[in-house]
Amino acid sequence: MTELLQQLVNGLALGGIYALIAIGFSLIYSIAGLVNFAYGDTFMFGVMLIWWLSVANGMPLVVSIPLAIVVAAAISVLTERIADRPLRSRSVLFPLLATFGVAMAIRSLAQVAFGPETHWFPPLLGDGTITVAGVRVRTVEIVTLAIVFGLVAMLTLFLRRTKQGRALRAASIDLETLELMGVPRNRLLSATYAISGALGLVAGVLLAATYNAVDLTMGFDGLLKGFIAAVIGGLGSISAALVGGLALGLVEVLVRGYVTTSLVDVFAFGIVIIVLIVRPRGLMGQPIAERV
Amino acid sequence: MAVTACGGSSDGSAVASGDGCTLNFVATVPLTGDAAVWGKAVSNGYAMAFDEINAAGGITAGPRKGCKLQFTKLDTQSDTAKATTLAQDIVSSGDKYFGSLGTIESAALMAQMPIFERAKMPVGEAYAASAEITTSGFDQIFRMVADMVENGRHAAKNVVASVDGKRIAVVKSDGDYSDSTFKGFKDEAAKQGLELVQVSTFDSGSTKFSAIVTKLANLDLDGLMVIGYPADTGNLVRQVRAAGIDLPIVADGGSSAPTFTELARDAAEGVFTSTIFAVDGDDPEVNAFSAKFKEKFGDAPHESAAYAYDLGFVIANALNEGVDKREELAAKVRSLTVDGVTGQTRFSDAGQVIGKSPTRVVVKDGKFVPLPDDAAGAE
Repeated sequence: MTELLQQLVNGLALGGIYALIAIGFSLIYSIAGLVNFAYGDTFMFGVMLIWWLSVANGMPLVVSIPLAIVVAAAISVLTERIADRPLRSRSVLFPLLATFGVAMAIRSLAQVAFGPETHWFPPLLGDGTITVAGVRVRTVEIVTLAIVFGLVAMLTLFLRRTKQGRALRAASIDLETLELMGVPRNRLLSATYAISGALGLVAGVLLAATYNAVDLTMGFDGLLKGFIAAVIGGLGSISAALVGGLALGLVEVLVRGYVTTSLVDVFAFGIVIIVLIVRPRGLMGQPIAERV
Repeated sequence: MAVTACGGSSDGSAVASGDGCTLNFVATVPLTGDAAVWGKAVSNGYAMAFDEINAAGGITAGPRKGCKLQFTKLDTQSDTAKATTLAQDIVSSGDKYFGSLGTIESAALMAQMPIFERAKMPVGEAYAASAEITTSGFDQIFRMVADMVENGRHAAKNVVASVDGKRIAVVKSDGDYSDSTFKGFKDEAAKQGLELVQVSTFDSGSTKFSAIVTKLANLDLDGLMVIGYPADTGNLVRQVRAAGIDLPIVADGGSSAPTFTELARDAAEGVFTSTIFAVDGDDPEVNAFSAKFKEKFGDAPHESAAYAYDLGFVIANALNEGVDKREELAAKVRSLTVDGVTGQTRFSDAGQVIGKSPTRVVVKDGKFVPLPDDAAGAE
């Protein structure tokens, strides 16, 4: 029983990170209507940059992390400018393929700049364990969950209580009408991509700090898991992404712990297929008016 | 007209170069992708060996006397299909190359070997360790490193020497390297009376070990055996220690690499493993090689670089012993005994290196320090 409780905490911490990735992914999907394949490699590049600045060259993390957030947001905005904006009027496939190209370019650039190796990442969120009611868990997992729920709360408040947030919510419902009302469409999309890139970077840092490693594949893997979490929960809503992420994290850890790691993706995609058949709009499918 | 000093070149692989000649080799190695770290290491080992051989006059006896050695690097991109295409290109180039220096990745080498066999192209392999490479009846192969099954047997002996108790959990990555190593480990563990309480497998390249580590934390164990590439085992050991598990840990010989200590950091301290090439030991020949290597390339040599370095001298020795044509090289190499930085190298009739026993080492202050006994290498 103790082991199961420990595994559940492992799953919730991992799921919380997946939820953050899913939220950043869903933001772009719900407003721009686009699956941004460059999303994962954008945050991978940011985390690699932190490694290079702080671990390889000694820059304090309090400087390198904000810098990387800005860089990830900037790459994300640049993705919108070169892969989405010029192509979105032609076909939905064009920007999709273009973001895939951007992803490959980012990964190649990261390999040249930072090397192909897996790099050590510092345990900046704690490196010990605590025991609660006989259940021993890593402190980093508790801190990760606190950060995830804190960010989700802040983002929810931003979207509901601020003018810019309400504009984003309105854009997710009908971007064209919003543009007719005088809201600058391109500026709104740039802001969406920037927030998505920054959220992805935070999720990437949490992943790297939890597992003390960063490598070139973390972006694609993260993108895949974020996508699955978003679909399970229901594309386009924060609470749905949170539920989808936590569910995916729990499934992944329990399969790793009690079945076999080789079948993790089989289970994850199996759940996606079942959800799409039984509840096509996801576990938390919301009316469009309540979406991000 | 340029004249070769190496007695003609009927196969075309001796290329005129001023008043001497050059024997061209080709190294199909991963310079990008997952295995690039080893590709770079072995390339540096070949380069250093060939530079030293050439500086000492090149081939000093036999029909190729006076020839210098050089090699061309071709990037497999850590991809078996790419390595296969490169092998076909090499064979298609006729007699351009005297021999191939292997790709260090077992799957890629196994895909290349039938192509090289048909062309009678000799292949010297520094680090690919699949048992199949030298048990498939290839005439042209000669390999410097022990196969993975043997690696696993040594790992089991290392557990016996390092762990006070018999109850062991094994955590291994998936893939040919770990599966073959585990096969040898399991065989030897049974002979040594070890009890494998738990065997967990993870996907190579993954960093998410929390589920496996939680299971380990709830088992009654005397020690932990980890098997996999150093990037995998380094991350794993780091997370095992972070979870508060203080069991003795033994890693298979593949983990005796800087990548392991870089990723495991403090958690690497006290971990037992083994190596043929104890770079942090007190062997003067090894230390001299390490110093030269570090001066030339900036990094301490990995074991794979040492094997590659010795391979260069094995080839030079074979040429000194009378090899004239490339199809003669593998057979000659298999008859040789050559001393080097990885110890004495000799081969079986199948081209497999024999008689090498690794040294048991423990990580201390981030270095792989040899232990006084040699249980891991006991035959």
